[in-house]
Amino acid sequence: MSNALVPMNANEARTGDHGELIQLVSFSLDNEEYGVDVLKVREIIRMPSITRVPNTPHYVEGVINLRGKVIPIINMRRRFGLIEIEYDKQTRIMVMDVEGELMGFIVDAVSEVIRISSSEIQPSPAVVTSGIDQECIAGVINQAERLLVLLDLQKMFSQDERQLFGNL
Amino acid sequence: MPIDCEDQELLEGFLAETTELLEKLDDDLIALEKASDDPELMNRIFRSIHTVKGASSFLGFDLLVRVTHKTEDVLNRLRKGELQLTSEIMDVVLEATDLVKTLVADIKGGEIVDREINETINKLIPLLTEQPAAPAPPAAEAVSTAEAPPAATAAPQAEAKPAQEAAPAVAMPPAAPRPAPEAAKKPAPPKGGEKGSGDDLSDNTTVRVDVKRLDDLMNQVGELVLERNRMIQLNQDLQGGTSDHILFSEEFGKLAKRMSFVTSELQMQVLKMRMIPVEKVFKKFPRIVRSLARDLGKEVDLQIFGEETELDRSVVDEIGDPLIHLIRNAMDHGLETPDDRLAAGKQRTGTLILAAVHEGNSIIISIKDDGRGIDTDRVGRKAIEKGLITEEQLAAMTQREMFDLIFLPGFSTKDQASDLSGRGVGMDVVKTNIKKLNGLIEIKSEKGMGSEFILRLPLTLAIIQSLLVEVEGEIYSIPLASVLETLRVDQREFHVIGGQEVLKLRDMVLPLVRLEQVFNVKRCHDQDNFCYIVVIGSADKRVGLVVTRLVGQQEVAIKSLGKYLANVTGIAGSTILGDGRVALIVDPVGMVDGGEGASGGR
Repeated sequence: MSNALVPMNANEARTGDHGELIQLVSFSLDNEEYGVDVLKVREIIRMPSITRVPNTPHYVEGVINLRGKVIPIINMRRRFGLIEIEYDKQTRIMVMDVEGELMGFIVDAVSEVIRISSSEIQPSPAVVTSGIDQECIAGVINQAERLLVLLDLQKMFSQDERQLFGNL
Repeated sequence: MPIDCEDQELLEGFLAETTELLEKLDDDLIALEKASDDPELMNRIFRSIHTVKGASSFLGFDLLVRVTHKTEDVLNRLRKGELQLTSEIMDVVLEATDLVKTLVADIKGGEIVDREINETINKLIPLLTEQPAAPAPPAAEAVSTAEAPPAATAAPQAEAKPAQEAAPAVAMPPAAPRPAPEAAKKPAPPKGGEKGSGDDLSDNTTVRVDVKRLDDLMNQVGELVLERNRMIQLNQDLQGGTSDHILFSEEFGKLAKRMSFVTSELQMQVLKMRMIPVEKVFKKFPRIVRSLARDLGKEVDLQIFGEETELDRSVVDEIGDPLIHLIRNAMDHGLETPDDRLAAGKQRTGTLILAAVHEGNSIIISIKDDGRGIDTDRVGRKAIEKGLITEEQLAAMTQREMFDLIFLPGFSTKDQASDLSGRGVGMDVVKTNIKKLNGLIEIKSEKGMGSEFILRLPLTLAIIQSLLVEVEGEIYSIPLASVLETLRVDQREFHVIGGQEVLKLRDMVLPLVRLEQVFNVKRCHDQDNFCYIVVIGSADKRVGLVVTRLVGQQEVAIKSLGKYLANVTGIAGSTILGDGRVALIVDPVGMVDGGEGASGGR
């Protein structure tokens, strides 16, 4: 994830012009809107058939075959401790590059690609929406009609790996 | 100093050729020691070193030229009969070869290090002036070897470390773990590369493929393209209405058959390209055995069979270490000293046989010695001493289980760890590596007669034959190599011993593992009394997996689950089924050990 997404840099940028332009893919989870760096998103697919993998953390939905490559699928609702819902027509898997490996994330819906100036990113407030780990929130974007939470999945997974390996 | 070579291609060619020559050279040198009067062999050795010298002088690698030049001179004298080959001379020549390897490894690494080469060269020089009639007695030779280095260090290289001067002297006492010439070589600057050089040189980043194999491959690909075009055509015909469903299905059936034929041919071809002879690993051993025999004061005749047996490079890469451990083990623990052997009424020289052979879809490698065999009483006692097992456990053990004790981590019959063995790590490494390869290991041993370690390994790790099974609606794949048999049984025949479900199978009590429990599968079928048992074995242990249904046998390509899910218990990987879904591959090793844990724990 580019440095521009780190809130501190955003503050620096504010002192100059309006900061560099970054693009985010926005998606929704339990009526909240989130964003991730567009460069990290490889593709967005509909729900294929998922093979369950036993003895994994509960939020690992399983694995899928992505054109010959087997990639793990994470259920974001479960990962963030939100109420689970049935998959519907809007449900998507966002395939992203996390530390050099492809991973899929199940989200409620993917809405659009938005452009923002890095100066619009604010550090996340001390208390944010239910359940989501503070560490993986890179910042908040507060635009007139919307509030977007910027996620840093890299952080989420380095932390998860620690947990996973700790259990073994 | 970075390498300044204008023609990268030339350099690569040089490296490939030199690496190949050097690998062969080691082998030939050892063979020469046994048959020093073989002119053909002698000439071949001379030619190899000469070729290396020629090429390196052309490319301007000065250090390399200097070493190879002197080595060549010594070999030339040997060839002309002006010098008699002794094992001391051989040590020096081998040392020079090692140095050449190190230097080549440097070039390969892209950085020429200014290495100290004079020490080795100075050992070679006395050999050039020695009188032909009187080959120096070994003692004198050893002294000259030891004296040469300090002279060298005093000379050109200013930064020569004092330690280097001291080292040969320190190495001289007989208590030194290695014989003097070996030890004298150790502290020399090439040391850094010495150990790694062999591995570095034989790395597997480039492949030489027979042009014919490539042509065949191209042909197959051509066929595949044709069949694809045919498929597109068929689809267009159907869409466009020029073909009806009956015709289409008939044509499509034919196409599917041809496709399957072409792809399996293609698969074979590619697999063949990945295959390399096991010789690649075996050729290191004569040298290892030679130096070990000298260290241990034993006489060994190493016989190698079946080195032309081919197996996948992924497997070749992995078996080197376990084999070295097994050979060390046989040399150190198995074979007796010449005196002991004579006392036991055997020949002075021990025999160590290393053999490889194909058997179906696996390769069998055996390491056999005619030494003292495994003393099960002693092994048992030691295991109790080390607290690895209890008296009661020992009493209940079969001979086979007692053999298995030597694989326990921390087990060693030695009271003191030596340079060679005794830390109780080696055999554990063997077992772990063999398990990693989905292999089986078997021990045959008779006290006083010798022992044999038999490794059974799969030919390749990329594509395996597997048995697809259904567990309450989920499909799992079990590597066929570890499946011993399958049977359909009535669940009422199960017995429970100490909370562990078992099945009486002929004269054996088979522990059972219910896959649905291990994998937490939700019950979807009604309780049916009949189920299937897949008996799997891993390194001598047997476990029965309880599954709902057998689906069939299929050749599957192994896909990694990625870093994130690398360590899931009981799962070795995944594969993609014909319908595009992912099926998980059961880890037989994990299952067998898991079953064991369950029987002890629950």
